[in-house]
Amino acid sequence: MTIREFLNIIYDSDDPGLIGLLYEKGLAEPQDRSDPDRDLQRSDAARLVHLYLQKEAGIRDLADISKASVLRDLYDCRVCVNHIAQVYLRGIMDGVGIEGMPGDFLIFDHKRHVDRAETVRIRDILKNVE
Amino acid sequence: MDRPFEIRDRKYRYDSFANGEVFEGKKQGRLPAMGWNSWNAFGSGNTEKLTVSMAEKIVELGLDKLGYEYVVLDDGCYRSERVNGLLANETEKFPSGFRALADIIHSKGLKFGMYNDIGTNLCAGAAVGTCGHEMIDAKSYHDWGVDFIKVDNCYYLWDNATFSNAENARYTYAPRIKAIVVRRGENVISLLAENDGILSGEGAYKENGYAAGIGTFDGTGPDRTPVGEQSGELHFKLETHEEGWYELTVNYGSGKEPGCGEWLQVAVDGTPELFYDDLLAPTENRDTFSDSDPVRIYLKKGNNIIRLMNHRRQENTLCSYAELLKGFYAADKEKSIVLSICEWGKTQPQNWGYKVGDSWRILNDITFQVGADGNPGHGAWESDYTTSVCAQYNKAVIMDEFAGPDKGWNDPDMLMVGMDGLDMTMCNTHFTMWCLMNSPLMLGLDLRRVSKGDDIYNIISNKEIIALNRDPLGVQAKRVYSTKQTTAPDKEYIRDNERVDILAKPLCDGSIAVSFINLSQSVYNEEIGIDLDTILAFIGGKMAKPFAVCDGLKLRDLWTGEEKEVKGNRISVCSIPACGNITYKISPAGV
Repeated sequence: MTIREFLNIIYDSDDPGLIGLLYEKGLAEPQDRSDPDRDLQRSDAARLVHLYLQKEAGIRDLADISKASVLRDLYDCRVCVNHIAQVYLRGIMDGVGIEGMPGDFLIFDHKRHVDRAETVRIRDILKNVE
Repeated sequence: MDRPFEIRDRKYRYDSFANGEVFEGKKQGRLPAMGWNSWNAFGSGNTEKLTVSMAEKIVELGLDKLGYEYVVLDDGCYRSERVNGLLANETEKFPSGFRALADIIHSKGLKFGMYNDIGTNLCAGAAVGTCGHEMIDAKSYHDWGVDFIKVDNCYYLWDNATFSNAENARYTYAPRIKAIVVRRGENVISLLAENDGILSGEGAYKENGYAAGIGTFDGTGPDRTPVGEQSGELHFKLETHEEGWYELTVNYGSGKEPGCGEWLQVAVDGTPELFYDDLLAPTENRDTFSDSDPVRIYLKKGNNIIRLMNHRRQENTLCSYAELLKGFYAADKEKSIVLSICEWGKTQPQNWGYKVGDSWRILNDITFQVGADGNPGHGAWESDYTTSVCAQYNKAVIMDEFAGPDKGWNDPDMLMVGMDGLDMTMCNTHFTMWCLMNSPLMLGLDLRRVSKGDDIYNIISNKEIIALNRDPLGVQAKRVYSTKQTTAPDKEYIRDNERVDILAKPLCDGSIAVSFINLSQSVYNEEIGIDLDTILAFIGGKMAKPFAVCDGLKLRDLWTGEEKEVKGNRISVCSIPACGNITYKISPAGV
């Protein structure tokens, strides 16, 4: 799944100019426009979904993100802490367990690739988020 | 660069950190920087237009007359890749380029600041970090007219920093060490870490027959005090009958994780040079021990201490920031750009930062919920992590001895005044704390929301509170009492916020600022006070002149302007609002 493919699904659009349009509306960032065919990582997905929530859906951020600190790697990605916290706390993207660790040991796993199934799941949740 | 700096000059070494010597190009005697930074206000959504607006507001609000001078572009302003090897502006957000923007800022009587990183990429991802480009980037900044630069630590090659390879811990920790053998001719001495090894400093430990944790604590999180030793070494005492060269072999197990790395430094106490400072051949795993190749060490006749250590976490980072300083100095020996070290306290910069920089961050960020155009962002009064006023204050308040005009300043991150989540009392106290602690004062809000005379304006423009930060004596306030303190209030790391602290700061006119700070979110409804003698016992040696003997004290409340005189030498208050402060300037009565 690339950035382009992800955004096509989230915004339900095959328009080749989609990313440029999203960039102009603040729904995508320069690196998405300059390299849209790179593999999508979970941290990128969190960022793009958060932008969707804020600017497309008009949903205000949750003020208290402290509960997201159950994700042991939350602060590993300094510029995407809030993106991850917002999508995690709204149940849009889950934490991931680690084999061999207790069940409450969760990470976000920033660099893991996002596949089509997860993207579709995210899109479906976004349709109903408030 | 495919390996850390080769260090040939002792000035970069851990053993030189305490010598007080600064590097060429580092300007001493500067007060903390004051201005506005784009990150908390707009995140990576800052633009040229917004920046110019902020500069205009600084002038319109008269903030420039109060000392706010730097307008700093944080992350999000560069093209994501270099252009012909050079840094370049993101053309849609900053269409005029950085030189033109600097000229606009300068035309308003303000100074221009920018941002970069000692790694390969900036934290937001742009592949324009200064690593390997320090000289040409410094030249670019000079040519653009940059007066201030904040330099971050993401994607750093030689430590497990944010976005860096986690296995970079191989560089910043020595391996597990089980034993050493020292040979000279027929003489062979074998020593075991468990029985003979002596742990020095903090952090190193012994278990299962080996010593580990030989390195420097990561100071990014709030768990550890910044006071005291932050590194650990393993020592072996050895008595020899002959001076000369010996062969040292180390039995070790290596890894690529915190506490167990691959890089070893070998020194002998009393000899300044290191005999070994490099990676060791990796062992199969950390539980499999092998002998190193022999290392030649020079021992004197009699008692020697062999030091096995790894101070590369600090030394590598110092080298990187020093490369930038070198570049700035090469570009212009007369101009000295303010260097704001932003490695989040990871490498305990309070030990070495003064050599190259003007301030050093002490922790991870104060908030990750930064604002955007139309969104003020969110700040917290307290938190379990670093993301709050109290978390940053709790660490900075006991770091006063690291700061000063001849060194630089502890940096508990940018101001969150104006963010959601902090009411005006919290903003007031947050601002007061930062002024008392001689922190850089970087506003982080959209100044278009501020008007002269409104609540935020009244906080950020309080001349008498700002004057504490600008006082030429440059002594960071000391905590002289805490209701939670059990031993040394000025050194004990207290994270329980259900308390009141009393801070005292000597000022250049001989007076003292005394602040009662209630960190609790409940009103403090008891009388609390402190004697002048107690205060002077802590800060007397730092006073500009002796506090005159007198029958009473004159108190001026720096927030209300109320003045009163009290008999005797006790300063007290009856009640402090939740998250509030009462801050006085005290001087002898009748003088």
